[in-house]
Amino acid sequence: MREFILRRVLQLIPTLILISIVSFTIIQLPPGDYVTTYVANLAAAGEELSEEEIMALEAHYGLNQPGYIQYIKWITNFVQGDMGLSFYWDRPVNRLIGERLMLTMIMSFFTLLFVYAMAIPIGIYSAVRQYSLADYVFTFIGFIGLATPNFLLALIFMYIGIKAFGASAGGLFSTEFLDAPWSVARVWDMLKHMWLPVVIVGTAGTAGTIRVMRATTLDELGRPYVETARSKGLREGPLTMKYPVRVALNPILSTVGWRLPEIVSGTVLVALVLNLPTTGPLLWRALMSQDLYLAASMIMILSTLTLIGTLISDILLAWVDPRIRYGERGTT
Amino acid sequence: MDNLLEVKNLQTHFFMAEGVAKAVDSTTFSIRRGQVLGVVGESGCGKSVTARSIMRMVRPPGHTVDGEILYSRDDQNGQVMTLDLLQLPATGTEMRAIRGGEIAMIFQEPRASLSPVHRIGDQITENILLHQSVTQAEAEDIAIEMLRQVHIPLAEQRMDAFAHQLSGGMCQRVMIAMALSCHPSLLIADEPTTALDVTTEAQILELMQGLQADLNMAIMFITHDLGVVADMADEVAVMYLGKIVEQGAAADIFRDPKHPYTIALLESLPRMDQRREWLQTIRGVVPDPYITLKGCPFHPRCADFMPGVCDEILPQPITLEDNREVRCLLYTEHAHQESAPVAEETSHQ
Repeated sequence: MREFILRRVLQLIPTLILISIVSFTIIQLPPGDYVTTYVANLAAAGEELSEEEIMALEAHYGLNQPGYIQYIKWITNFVQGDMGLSFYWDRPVNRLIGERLMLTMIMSFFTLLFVYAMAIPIGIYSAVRQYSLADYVFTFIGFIGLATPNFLLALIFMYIGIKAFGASAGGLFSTEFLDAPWSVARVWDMLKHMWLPVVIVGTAGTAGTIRVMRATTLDELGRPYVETARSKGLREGPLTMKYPVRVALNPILSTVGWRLPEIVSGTVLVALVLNLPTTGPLLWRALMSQDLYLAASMIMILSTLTLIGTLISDILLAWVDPRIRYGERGTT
Repeated sequence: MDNLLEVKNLQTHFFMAEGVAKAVDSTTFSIRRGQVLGVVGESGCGKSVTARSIMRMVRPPGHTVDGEILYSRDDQNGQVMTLDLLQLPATGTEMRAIRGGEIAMIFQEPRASLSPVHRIGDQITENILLHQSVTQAEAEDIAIEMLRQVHIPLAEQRMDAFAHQLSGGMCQRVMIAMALSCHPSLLIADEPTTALDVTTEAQILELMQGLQADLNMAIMFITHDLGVVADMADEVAVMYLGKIVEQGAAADIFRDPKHPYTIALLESLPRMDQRREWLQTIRGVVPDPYITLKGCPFHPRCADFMPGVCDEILPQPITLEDNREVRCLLYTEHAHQESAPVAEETSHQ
């Protein structure tokens, strides 16, 4: 097992290098760079910049150098923990991302918790009582949850919030805590605000996970080993939990990691609508304004999260499924 | 008669969108204490459903709609008492105590029948702890002892193994160890060697015979392999389309089959001492389960079909000499012929 983990961690390194090159290249692919966007914006506002001023700007941001030198400079600083400067915000990327990344991860964690706490029991119930009234109801709600775009749900909740409670549903903090330093009161305030985006973002995930859990459990319920367990005289409830559900959880567990980046990047629209201080809107704006280092750094962080997530999934799966664990040694 | 299990008029039907499939349709047979009953028949004739009906393990859309399953057990005073398993709630305490404790079952796919994610030892001790009042440590000792009895080498180490680390034959030995760990009075073996190669099959059969003699338990041995039945069974029940068409002592049935279906089955066995161009087969296929045939269910395929009789009257079981039960109109007053047919010369092709 230790060997397995070590090998997987080592495999991350070349993957990350490749991702950093590809993402840096792709961001530079659209014609022009931050300065061209900036100049175009100024021109639209009726202000003209001279050739020298433009050159000076390019030199200032290091954009006059060839792409690979920009890349090498950026990646060397990146691994040392310095993610460069955001052109648009004119602030170091580190400071820009810091709190947002933490808030995003907290929200992702609660969303994940919400999704599994709702979806796994419902999925099991729907499978065990297949074609029952409750199964149909959950299936119906589940499909609506899958089909409704999250941002629409966010708008509906905001509308209800304003109409019924006269309160704005946006943001993660009350006004008085917006720029306050961290304190117990601020954390409490955040948690009070967080349930709504968690529910909104989690709905589609919950609906999807219910379907997966129901399908895998149904698959396992008919397996011979379940019949063996029944032939021993086990009670139906413990039997279901110990055998088919235990096996059906494997695919759910093994995709835990994939959910991390999905939640981080998939919440852009909801975050925009609800005005959440998470990473989604920041990445969106960075890409729109060709804010090179900010965009590249964020994509790098997301990729790293994805890879770590996948690694966690693989380790979890090897841990829960002996067939995979022992497959490593080549036994049959 | 010292019957351990008496199945009377058992009816288990599957209620499907396409209609009702009568998988088991008024099946009647009995198993004596310490005796091996071989149940033979083609795929889909209701053998496995019969077994699951006895275990009360038929899953929806299947339901046992009628019949009696009379099971005789010794009560605390050593008195034999008989109870109808169909009267017990299928998942109730009493039925669960019988299931696994007094009637155990082994299955066709030994590896798939063991949990992929639980250790062998855990699965065996679970059965022991369910039915015996012993501690975890004692249960483990019993489990190891059972693994030794089924000739699994390095029994202690194997307790920690997973199913995928063992061969199919080893998995079936584990299943047998698990099934016999509580000394059941009846073992239902549902095609336990079908998925194994012939060498392993022979070993498993030998093992089962040895254990059956040692433990004095009855076995209901379900198979489609007549050779295996000849090897294992004291008594044979031949099943066709949810009905037992013939039951009798194994030796008698192999020497002198009465039902045309049994005759045809035995004729379609390839033989070492005869060279034939063609393998003898039974013409036609098992009919659509959703259609209830009028008359005898075997009449469209029968070599001795009597028009106007077999397609009109549903045969009832008749007891012939030497305790043979046959469901065939040839042995009733409906038969036109003076004597029962001799089928070996008739051409089925």
